[in-house]
Amino acid sequence: MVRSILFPFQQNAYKILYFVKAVTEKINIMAILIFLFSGRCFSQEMPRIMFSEQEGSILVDQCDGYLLHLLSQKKLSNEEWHNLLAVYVTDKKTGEVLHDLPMLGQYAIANRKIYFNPRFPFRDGVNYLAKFNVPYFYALVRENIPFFDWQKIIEFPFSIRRETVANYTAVENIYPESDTLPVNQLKLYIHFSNPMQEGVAYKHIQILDKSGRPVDQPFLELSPELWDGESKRLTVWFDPGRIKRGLSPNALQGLPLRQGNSYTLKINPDWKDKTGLPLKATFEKGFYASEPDRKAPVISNWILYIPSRSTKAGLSIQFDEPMDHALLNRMIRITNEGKGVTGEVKIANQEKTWTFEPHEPWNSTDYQIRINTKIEDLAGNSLRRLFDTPVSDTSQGPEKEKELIIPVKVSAKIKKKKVRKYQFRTLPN
Amino acid sequence: MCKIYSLFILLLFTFSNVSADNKGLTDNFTKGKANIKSISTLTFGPEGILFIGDSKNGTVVAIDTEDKVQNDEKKTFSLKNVEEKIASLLGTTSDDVIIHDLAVNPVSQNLYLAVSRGDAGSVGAWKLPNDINYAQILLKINPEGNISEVSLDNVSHSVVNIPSPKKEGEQTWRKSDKRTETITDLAYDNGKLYVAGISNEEFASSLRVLPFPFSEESTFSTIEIWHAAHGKFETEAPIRTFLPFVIDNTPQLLAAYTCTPLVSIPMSALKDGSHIKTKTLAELGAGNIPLDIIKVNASGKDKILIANTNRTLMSIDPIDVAKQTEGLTKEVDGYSTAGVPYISIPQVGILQIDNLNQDFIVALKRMPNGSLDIISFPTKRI
Repeated sequence: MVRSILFPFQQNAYKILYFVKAVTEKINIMAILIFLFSGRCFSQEMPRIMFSEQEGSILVDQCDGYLLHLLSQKKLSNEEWHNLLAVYVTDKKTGEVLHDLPMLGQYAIANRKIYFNPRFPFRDGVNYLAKFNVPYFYALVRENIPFFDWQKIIEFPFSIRRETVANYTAVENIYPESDTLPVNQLKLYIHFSNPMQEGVAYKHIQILDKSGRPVDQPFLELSPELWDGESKRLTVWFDPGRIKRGLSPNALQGLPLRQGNSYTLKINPDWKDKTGLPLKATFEKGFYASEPDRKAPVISNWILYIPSRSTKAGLSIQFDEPMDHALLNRMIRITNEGKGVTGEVKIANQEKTWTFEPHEPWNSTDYQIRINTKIEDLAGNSLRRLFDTPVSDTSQGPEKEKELIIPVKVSAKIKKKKVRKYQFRTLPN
Repeated sequence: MCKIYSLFILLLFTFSNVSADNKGLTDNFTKGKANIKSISTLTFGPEGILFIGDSKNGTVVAIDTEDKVQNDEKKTFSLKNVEEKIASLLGTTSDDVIIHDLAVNPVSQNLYLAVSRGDAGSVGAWKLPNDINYAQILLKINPEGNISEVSLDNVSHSVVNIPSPKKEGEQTWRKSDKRTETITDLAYDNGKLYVAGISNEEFASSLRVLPFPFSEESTFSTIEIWHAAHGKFETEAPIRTFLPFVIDNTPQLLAAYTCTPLVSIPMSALKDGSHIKTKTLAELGAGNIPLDIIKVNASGKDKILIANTNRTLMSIDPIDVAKQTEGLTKEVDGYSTAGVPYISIPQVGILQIDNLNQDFIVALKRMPNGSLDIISFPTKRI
């Protein structure tokens, strides 16, 4: 009763309570005196359990820094960690722990806090109870359990809302980034923050028109779906049969989008990630369908930004139109005397700018930008051919791969210039 | 003096022998994080060595579980609501828990489970756990029913690449990536690990034989069967589950397929590069996936037990297998069965089985009330 009355005034009350309790229980007065003089009694706050939305983890703060330091020196077994800090699933109605099985996860001590990072994110709709065993904490780092023992185990019941937890899976990006797309836009790339459940994508992706009605079958529903190896990036094709003029789906149904209309790409949050958790929230991207793009990128309209020698500054190409994000990432490389230069690729300016930052400074004069001619704009027009034209006679066998080579001279000065000189080279099979 | 000297030599010899034996199995193991992307299938070898088939990586990993305390007890085992209990460990509800495989360590009688957290609602009659998710959690359940995680972060282990793992991006008729069937089952026998699954070869169904301890050596064979229920020869579908067994003094593999042919493959035929036409011993009935096959010693007699998705637990007498001198060659209609007979054991919903001890078999069973329990039943009733 005394505890419950005093609880609201916890910050000061419990300190008094320690003292009173210790005296009333006639614990060795010398121990109290030593403790008082140690300066800890009145500086010490009670440890506190919190849920960190930022990290999606449970943490215990307000622990004595020195004792935490001692604890961090120890290598605790799983069982010891579970005794110290454990999170349990509880019954929704009664709040009781369902099974005496602490959740799997990793423990860490950092920033004067003890962290529990669950093996899988906490799930909304599930109730949890975190328990921190204070006397055990002291016992782990000291020989004697401290004499103040009220509220031996701190309990923290909690549940989470997935919208607020950082490590819930979300749509990180959709390419193209631009909010204006050609009406004959060919592909979309959806990047997720964690691996996703495959095989259900088309149930969860919709294109809605201005009135909120879903566009009928805009996508080519490929099976299997086009995922990267990590199941984090999905490639979605607008139905190419409806885009390419002269094909019967185009004649019967027309383009999936209508020029001059606004749309919303909507991703349903019920789509689950690989761990069975739904997405953090609905994802929506609004865009406007502009005139069709039926022209190839014009190389002579590209602008090069050439860095100065001996620096690691980026070498950039600014294209005359936005380019396909995935192909930009993998179809361009830099060479020096035939050897590849290593570095990082950055894509910016709504896929209009490609920048290469080398790992080593630009120490030579002559470099080459090598671009596979399969690189495409948003409507699938490559340097080889337009998407929306009949494929040329294929009786000669498949077309050989080519690359565009743009020579770059690196000097002491930074330069900005249009692409003037370039050549094509047939790539070996 | 001479006696003492020779005793000493004898002792030395004995010790060196013992240590060589012990060393033999794990001396090429390294301690560290085992790179495992999918715990697709589990089986135990000797001395608590657990083999993990990893379809996603196209590897088999041998783990020294250090779980070597001999347990000769002949007790039962029971654990109710396993999914709920695992859900507590994973911080979720049972509809997020998928159990991919179960194996008993014959030394300690501890159970090992391959588990993932994923959409369990997607698992169905034709969708197996490996079709849905890649298992990444290995759990151990001791005879008292205590569940703990077996960390793969710092274990003594050895990894081997399997020949011709199926490339990613093609789809099975069950709409999962064919890569998930790169390894469908494993069995250890007499210094060799047998690995069933599909490959990139024209005849995709394959058996790989890896000597253990792992080395660069391996053999790769493709497998052809007469699928009586389908009325045709098949080379594409993988073996779902198989068992090394000696029939008529000939070491064989008894292998079961979806829909449900049971075939025999002489081990001597598993030579590198060979294409093996198997003998179809039985058609156990269409509309079914065989999930597990084990050898059971029932009251002094060996029996073969098969657990299924859509049929009862089946018991086959090896004597009947030996009698089946000719393989099936004709089509079997509908859901009929043919060839080696079997007894329907009155157990349904058995998803995994293994020998627990001399007297009991352990099984993962979907109970009539929907809960997933681990039960045991006596071998003498097989």
